[in-house]
Amino acid sequence: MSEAKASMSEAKASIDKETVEQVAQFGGEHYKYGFTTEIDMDRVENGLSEDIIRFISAKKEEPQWLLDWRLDAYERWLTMEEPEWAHVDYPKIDYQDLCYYAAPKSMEDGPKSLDEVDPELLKTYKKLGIPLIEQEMLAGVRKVAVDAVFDSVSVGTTFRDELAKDGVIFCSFSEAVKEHPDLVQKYLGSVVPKSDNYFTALNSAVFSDGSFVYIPPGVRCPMELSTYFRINEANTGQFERTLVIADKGSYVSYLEGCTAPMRDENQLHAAVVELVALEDAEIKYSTVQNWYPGDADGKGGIYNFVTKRGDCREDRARISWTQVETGSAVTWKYPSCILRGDGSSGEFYSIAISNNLQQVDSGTKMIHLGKNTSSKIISKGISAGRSSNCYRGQVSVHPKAANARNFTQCDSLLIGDKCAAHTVPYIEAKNLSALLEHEATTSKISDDQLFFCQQRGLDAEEAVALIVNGFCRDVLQNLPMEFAVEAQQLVGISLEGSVG
Amino acid sequence: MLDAQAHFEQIRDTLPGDGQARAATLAAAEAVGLPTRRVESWHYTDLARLLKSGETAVVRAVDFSSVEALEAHFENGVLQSEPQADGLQITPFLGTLASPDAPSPDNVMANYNHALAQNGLTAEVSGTLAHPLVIRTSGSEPVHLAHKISLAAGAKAVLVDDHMATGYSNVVFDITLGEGAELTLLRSQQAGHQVGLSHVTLEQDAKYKSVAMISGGTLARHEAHVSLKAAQAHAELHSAVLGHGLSKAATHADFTYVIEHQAADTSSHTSAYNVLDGNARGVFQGKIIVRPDAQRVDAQMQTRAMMLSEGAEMDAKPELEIYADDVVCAHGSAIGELDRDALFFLRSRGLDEASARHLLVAAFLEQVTTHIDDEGLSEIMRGLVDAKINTLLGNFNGGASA
Repeated sequence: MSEAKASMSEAKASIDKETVEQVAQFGGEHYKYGFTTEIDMDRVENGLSEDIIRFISAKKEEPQWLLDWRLDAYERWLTMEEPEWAHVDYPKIDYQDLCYYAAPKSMEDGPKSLDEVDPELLKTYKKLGIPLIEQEMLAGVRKVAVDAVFDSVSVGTTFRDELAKDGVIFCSFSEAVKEHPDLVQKYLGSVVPKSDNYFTALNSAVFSDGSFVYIPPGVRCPMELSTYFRINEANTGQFERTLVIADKGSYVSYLEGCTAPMRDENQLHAAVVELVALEDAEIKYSTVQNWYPGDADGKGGIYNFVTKRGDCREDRARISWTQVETGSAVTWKYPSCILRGDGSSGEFYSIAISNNLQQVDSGTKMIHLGKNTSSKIISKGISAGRSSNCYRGQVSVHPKAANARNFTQCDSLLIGDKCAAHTVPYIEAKNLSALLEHEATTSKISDDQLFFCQQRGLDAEEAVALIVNGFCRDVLQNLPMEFAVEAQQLVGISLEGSVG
Repeated sequence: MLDAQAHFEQIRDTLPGDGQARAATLAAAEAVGLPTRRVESWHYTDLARLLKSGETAVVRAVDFSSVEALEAHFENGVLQSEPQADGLQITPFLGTLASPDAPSPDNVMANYNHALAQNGLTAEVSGTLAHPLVIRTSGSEPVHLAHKISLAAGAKAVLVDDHMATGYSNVVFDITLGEGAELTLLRSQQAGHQVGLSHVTLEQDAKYKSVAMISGGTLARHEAHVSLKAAQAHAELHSAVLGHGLSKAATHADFTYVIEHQAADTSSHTSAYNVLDGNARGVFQGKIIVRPDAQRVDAQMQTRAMMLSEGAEMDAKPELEIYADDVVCAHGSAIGELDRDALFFLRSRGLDEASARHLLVAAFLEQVTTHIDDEGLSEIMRGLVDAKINTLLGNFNGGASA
């Protein structure tokens, strides 16, 4: 009798344990990148001034022209006002209460190779699923070269030597300034001028690191390049700069990933990405943005105010942006294409998912300047919880852009009756032969679809994830294989707790 | 073009209502000044620049005799004849009663109207009006009119706004539709610079339909704020633009709509068709707002533009702002030139170039005129469109070789 009782209570305990694990899986742990790395950091005092800018510049042993460039940007920033037109609402940022430079102490001596990098850092990236040890890459899997940026510095770049054989330059921005100053000086700020907007001016003044890519003429980059951004320190802002140049007839596919620890206070991320595609070159830029979005009550999370712009500078250049946005508390981001060369084309594929109290204001700009230019925009916005998700886009055809073509489709999916979805497209045609098409829809997941999936044995959340993945298919298809799998899982995770 | 202060001093003695309140409103409006391109809702319409162009040519009045229309004719702001009909009650204009919100760059034109409104039709409709009621605006002097149209529960009316004034005019329509009321508002602008603003509120089961036709004039800004306040309210706004003219004499037609679904089970349907020749510029800014808990809303918005010449321009901004989930909202926009395949098809059937182009443009605009239910009025508006296409593109001669 007592034996039976014991086994009963044992069984009960095991069921309880299982339940607890299941709940944990669905509850607090769904942002699995929310850990912090305990590491000695070298950080400057909070606040922004000319001295800080001089300090950052000196720390990176930059040439005088770059320091002057930064100081000029800072001066302009002081005269600018923070933009308020976006459909987002957040408390005023105190720019004097931020730390503008934080780097792991071990990076001080400048490790010569990845072998010398602090194992703690390598462990961090391993935990994030980003192997920085080249040997660890699985045989048979396509190679991906990684530049890992940790707070204000790049901790290492893999496969550099192999890439160098093809003449491809892939390194951190600081190294590029030292080793390829001509290229940097020629292209830096040529797509996104330093005073383009409030956040680019700020970034131009205090940017700390980032990635630099140059693909020589006629080279098809032999592997995917990627940058992984990690914010670790509390109370810091991350201001990185990425510059990708594809010379005539070259091709590169570039991936970008980002995560941050879970913290109660908000952190600022104001990056600038510049792409330059010369004649017949093609750049494919993919982002999976998985910054910490804040908790269910909207506490904490990253403010992501990013300016991304590509310039199809010469004829038949192609630039394609693909983004999966699941993270950050507030997003303000419009990856754009300037279609300057005749016959150039731009593409924008986006999935933006917002849950809880997240706010997204994202979209693109396609500026048609050259003849026979074409652009395509596919945007899928999914809002759940009490979030707000806004697509804001511009398609502009200038008088000389004969035969410009654009197709835009932006669809919004609403999950729950407390969220909001907005669409704000600007369509401007100044040329007779332009052909611009725009479609937008807003709807919810139909009860029929949900019922069908549930009736086949899926639970409500799995069913929603399945349907949403179908809704996003057009965009997911355009992601490189490595990202597509991660992105699909992210879609499911980001929407957890949004139904039932 | 308009020195508001001087204009006010000039007509001050003739204005009904509280002169001091008007002066104060005007001062507040002048402090804000005319909206510039930096104001989001005026981004594509540079009012200060557009008002610099002079008067436009005198046009012929549209003949509504075939539909036995009632007429309220404002010549330079003075009412020439007062319409009389069963179910229609006209009260003298006493100045705009409700003062608008404090002036901001977005609504400053409403404040100018409030300060300077010299006349307007104040009409209450109960029952069904047997014939269309035409409000005709003519003359060349600057004019500010404020019309107030209320339809009682179950009332039905067709209203025509025939705008042929050649100078500057600022016209406000304040329209309220009671339960189950139905109003069709037909608007034609052939000349002048008009800054128009209408506020429309719909109660349960009310139906509002506006069909606008811009065939001339150098500025046509038609801003409409439509509030659907209760279930089954339905609003339709259709517009057609036949823009033409070169540089300063070119048509600038701007339709700016804010359609607010405040209640569940409401619907709206918007379409805008622009034909743009010469240096004409078409602007469409439509915003559909679905308020929280306004479930089962159906809102559709379409913008189309046909560009006929190198110097034409079309700007469209169809916005959705949705706060409820069980909705079907969509907008579409297409901008392009005359379909060459369609042109070729018609040519291959023996039509000459001019006729083929005429037919295609007419067919394009037919998608707006088709929304006019009244046969007589529909005939009149089609005639107006046809005559305009004739002067722009040449006559349609049904295929007889030219």
